[in-house]
Amino acid sequence: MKPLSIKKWTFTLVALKILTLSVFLLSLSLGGKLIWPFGTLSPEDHNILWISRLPRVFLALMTGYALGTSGTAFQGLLQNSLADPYILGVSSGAALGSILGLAFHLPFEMIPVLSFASAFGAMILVYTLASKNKQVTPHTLLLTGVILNAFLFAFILLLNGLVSFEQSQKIIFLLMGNIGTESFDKLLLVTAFVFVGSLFLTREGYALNLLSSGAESAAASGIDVPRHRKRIFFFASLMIGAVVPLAGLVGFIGLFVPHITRFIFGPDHRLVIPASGWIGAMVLMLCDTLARSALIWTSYQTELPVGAITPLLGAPFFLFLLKRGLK
Amino acid sequence: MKRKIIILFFLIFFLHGRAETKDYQRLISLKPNLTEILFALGVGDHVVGVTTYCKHPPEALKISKIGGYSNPSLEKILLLKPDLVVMIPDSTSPQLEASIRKAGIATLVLKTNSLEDVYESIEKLGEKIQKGERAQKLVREMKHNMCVSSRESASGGDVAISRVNSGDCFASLAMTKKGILVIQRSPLIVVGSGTFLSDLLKFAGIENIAGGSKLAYPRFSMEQLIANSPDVIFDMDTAPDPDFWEKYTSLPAVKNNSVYFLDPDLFVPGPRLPKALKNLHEASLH
Repeated sequence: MKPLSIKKWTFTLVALKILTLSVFLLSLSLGGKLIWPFGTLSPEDHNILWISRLPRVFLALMTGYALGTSGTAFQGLLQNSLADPYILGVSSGAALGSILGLAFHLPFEMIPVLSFASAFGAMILVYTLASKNKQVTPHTLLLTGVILNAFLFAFILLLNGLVSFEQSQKIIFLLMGNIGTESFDKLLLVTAFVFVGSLFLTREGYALNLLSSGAESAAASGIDVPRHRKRIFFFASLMIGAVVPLAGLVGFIGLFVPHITRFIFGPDHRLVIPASGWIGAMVLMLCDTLARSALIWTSYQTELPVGAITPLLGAPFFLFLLKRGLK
Repeated sequence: MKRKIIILFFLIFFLHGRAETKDYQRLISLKPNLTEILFALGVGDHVVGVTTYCKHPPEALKISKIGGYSNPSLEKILLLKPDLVVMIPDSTSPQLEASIRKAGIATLVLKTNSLEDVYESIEKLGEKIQKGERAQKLVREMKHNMCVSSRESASGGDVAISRVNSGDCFASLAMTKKGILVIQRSPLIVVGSGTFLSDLLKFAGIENIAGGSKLAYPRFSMEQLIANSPDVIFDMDTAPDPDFWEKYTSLPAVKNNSVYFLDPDLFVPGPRLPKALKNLHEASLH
């Protein structure tokens, strides 16, 4: 691995932040109606832009960041290029937590906490179940993830059968993956979770570099492997737990964004962890802009859930990368 | 060969067209609005099974439940030994209907999407259970009351009825306000076109800003709602939340204090529709 200079690190991240800001402004202006945020706005446009569109684009940013970063962390830690929160069952864990909160009418402040706890629980469970003699083979891990997903879904469907018709609608949108206009206090809470998670995950970059070449060699380099592993699980689950109650199960971002990021910036996790967050944020903001505006001017006059867009773009891209022999 | 096919077609239509009517004794309804219609036709005491969503009239609460809105239990239906099951055409109905018929039980599938569908279905159901006259009377009353409601509001000055036919109330209404009927706020789902609710809006003299959508209940864009500046918003979400609308200060409906929260239980495609329309009028003309 080439050494990473502070200069390159700073430069890349500043550039990515500027790019993200541009995509943010672009997503903010695009939609059913083209609105340039810096002009003088009619009252309608003002409402569309700042009350309806801004919270939505912001949620896409946060969700994309959380999914991108945690996907990278999982892939590095587990040395498995197919590991992503969705496939491992961590997202389903978070969804189960949020749906429990929804079913019992808990106040929103409680829901990300519950969602985080069950995401973390799912992560620990999938890891413990998949490990044999302190070894986790990629195969076993993915299969365990598939089974855990099915198991968690059974509970979700059970709850779905018990709640009212309206709540059941909400659950379905949650399972589809859907970015909507949320209130600022909810977004603030989510942002706080994602911020803390990203801060600590970025700090794990060096450990991840060692871990991604195998637990044994990492231990030989003198780091406390179980402790770092737990930390990474904890903070990744924190971010997933925060975004899933609002955005639901948005698939593919956590899978292909880390690949693109490593493809562009190389394997160093100190850089790739935050970089994949910003790239995830950009991708999801663009996906949601498409979901928001694609069908508005057709005779259906409707919106799509973002969950219908991410695999549409993500799956072919991922297959393309696979064909090209990317690990 | 061709001739055979034609004869076959005739036979099918002939047999199909001849609805068998009978004095059915044990009825099951698979939708809340059908339950209401059965009670309105005076056969409530013959209803042996309803859904968990059938809460009107209150007598329906005491009847055995066959499942929820979209997941009726075939076993429970068969256990109740009905001689007629009424349902609406939806995603589960073809398979379910086939199974029930196979068990030798009569079925009746009734469309209740638009107002016209509701009238037709009431008459069809009435005929089937030998309550034809009562059904026709019910439809006449409903049409009359819809008409009265529209006329009353017309005298309020907002809606003009240009033509009233004998008995049948055909109202060509001047659309004086733009409005929207919200089914669910988040994600936003509204009334589009071709439903009894879009018909009610028309009767209330309100131009539906989502009326251009081909879908019955589109998931609508909040941005488009704002851009179309509705004068009036009817919100039917089960949890009324005025704060949700207050923040959109540009909306004429918010400025004029014309956001109304309606009881979704009343807006069911059945005999209570005139009452629902009255509710809509009273809200918008207060």
